[in-house]
Amino acid sequence: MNTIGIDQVDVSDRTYCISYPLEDDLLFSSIARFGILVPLGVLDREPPVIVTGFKRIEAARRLGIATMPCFFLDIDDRQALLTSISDNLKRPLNTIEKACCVERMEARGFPKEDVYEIARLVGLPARVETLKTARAMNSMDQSTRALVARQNLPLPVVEQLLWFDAQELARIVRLVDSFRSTTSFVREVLHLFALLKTKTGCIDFHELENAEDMEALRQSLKRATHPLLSRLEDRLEKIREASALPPHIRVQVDPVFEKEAIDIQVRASSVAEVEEALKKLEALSRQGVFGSMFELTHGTPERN
Amino acid sequence: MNSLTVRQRETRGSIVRDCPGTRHHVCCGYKTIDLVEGCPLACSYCMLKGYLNSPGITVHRDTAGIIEQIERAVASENEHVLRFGTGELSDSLAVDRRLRLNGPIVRFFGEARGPLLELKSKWASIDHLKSCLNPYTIISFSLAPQGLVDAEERRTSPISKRLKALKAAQDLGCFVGLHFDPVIIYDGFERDYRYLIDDIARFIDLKRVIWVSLGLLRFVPSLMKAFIREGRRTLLNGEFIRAEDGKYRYLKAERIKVYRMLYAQLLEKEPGLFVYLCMERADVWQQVTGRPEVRQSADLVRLFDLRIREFYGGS
Repeated sequence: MNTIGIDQVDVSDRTYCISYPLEDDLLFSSIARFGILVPLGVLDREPPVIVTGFKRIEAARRLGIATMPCFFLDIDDRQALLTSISDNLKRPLNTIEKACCVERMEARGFPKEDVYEIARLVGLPARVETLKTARAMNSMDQSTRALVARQNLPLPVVEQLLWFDAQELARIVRLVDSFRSTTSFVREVLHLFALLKTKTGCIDFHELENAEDMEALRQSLKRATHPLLSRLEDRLEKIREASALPPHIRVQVDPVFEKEAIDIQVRASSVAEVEEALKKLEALSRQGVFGSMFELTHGTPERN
Repeated sequence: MNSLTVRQRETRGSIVRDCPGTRHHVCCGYKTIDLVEGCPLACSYCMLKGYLNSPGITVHRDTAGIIEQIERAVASENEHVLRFGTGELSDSLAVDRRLRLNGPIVRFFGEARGPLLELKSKWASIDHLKSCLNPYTIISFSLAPQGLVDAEERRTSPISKRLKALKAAQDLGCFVGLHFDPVIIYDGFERDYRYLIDDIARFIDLKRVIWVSLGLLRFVPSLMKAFIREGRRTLLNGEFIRAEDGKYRYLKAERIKVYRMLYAQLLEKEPGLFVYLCMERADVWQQVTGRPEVRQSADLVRLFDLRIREFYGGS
């Protein structure tokens, strides 16, 4: 094992870097406490080229560590890439990193079967479209890459991102990134953005950019892509408000108004509570509350 | 179509099957004969893109074996008149002039004089079958406004040719079927469908149309992605929801509205028409047709039996 000074290597040379992002709080804390325990892999050239350990070197830089343990590797370019990929496979990779593995291999002219084998190993579908997406991801801007990595968006969602032009994508990423959200929520919102663009030819961001949270953004998009469904939802909401259902009676309506049946749930802990709930239900029925709901679920709201 | 790759496949297992239907929806109880898998017409909305994962066309040429399978299916059914079709995994006529697959099957149905064969197509080419066509073969065409055909069914025959082929089939003594499937909602579709129905009524004898199906566009989730990727604005013009069977369908209220419109327009032209909804919910059936008797697939099969008796007699 050897030692190398940070100033001896070109840290901006990311030829073999698979890791994204390089900042890793856990690793940073570990190195701050115990120092660099696992040596870097470095190509024995002048200047030396980092093959493995990009995250460690980044943490070391931030901590002001001047020298690091390393192994000098005497291998060719392709072997160096495979060494880097193999080193990273010890941990779960995000989609940016997975795509990076196959994109770098394809760019170096590895046989397609080998590229597909790595794709399978990292959990990407072994098909031509994956390579195409991986190439496109390579030219994504930093904020989009950061979103993909932070949300750990899967490949199909990244493919959705690529449906937008650069300007649209930048605005979408800015919007989505400004809210805390789950992957499935992000996925749904991106789908609605794509649908809106297909239906209308363009996306009017003005109203969307006023959304206060992800749910509001989703609702605004849905109103644009599904105006009739949104109207049905509004009408159901009005019926619910007018009926003033007590908390122990729940009425569930299919959210897309496809099933004609509605589910009525009563929570009771005594006969008296059951009887009280039944009276309430009877009163609601007389008021026409359920009739109005059935008009929505029967698909005949125009009769209202 | 000349560059099409055609593979021949040895027929293993049954290629005569029940139409798979779809959960929570009323199915007509059709039997499919998968003579051909894959279609050269490449309509933009084609569900085969979502089901078949290999390009090109695969054909089964073991006619004797296929007929044996049909005979077995017919022998095992003693209550209903069986209806068979070759248009489930392909277009029934698109490659038939070249491959001549339907002829022996058409002859078989003509000799059996009981079960019916439906050749369902968007490709108006029946001349090569003239010598064997018989009343037990239904010639059917999918029909849509010509503008939609130009945009979404680009390799298919124009509507005028399909109507001429329907007329020719009627002249040859066949009953015909009309399929408005998929009906697509776009700006001005109401007017276009009205004109289309006017044209049909002018062109063919509606009294000799054995059945008419209505089916609004529905598709598996993988096609939604394809439509977005390809920018299919017309296809995605309406509002789609995920229905109980997992497929995307127009919002139910919209489906009912459109079905009612088409149903009324068709019956206005010929009150005796038998119009059915393809793969729809029982409650939609009821809202559209006002027929409370169709609650499940068996009920629709019974309506088909009645219709066939009207046309062919028997008890």
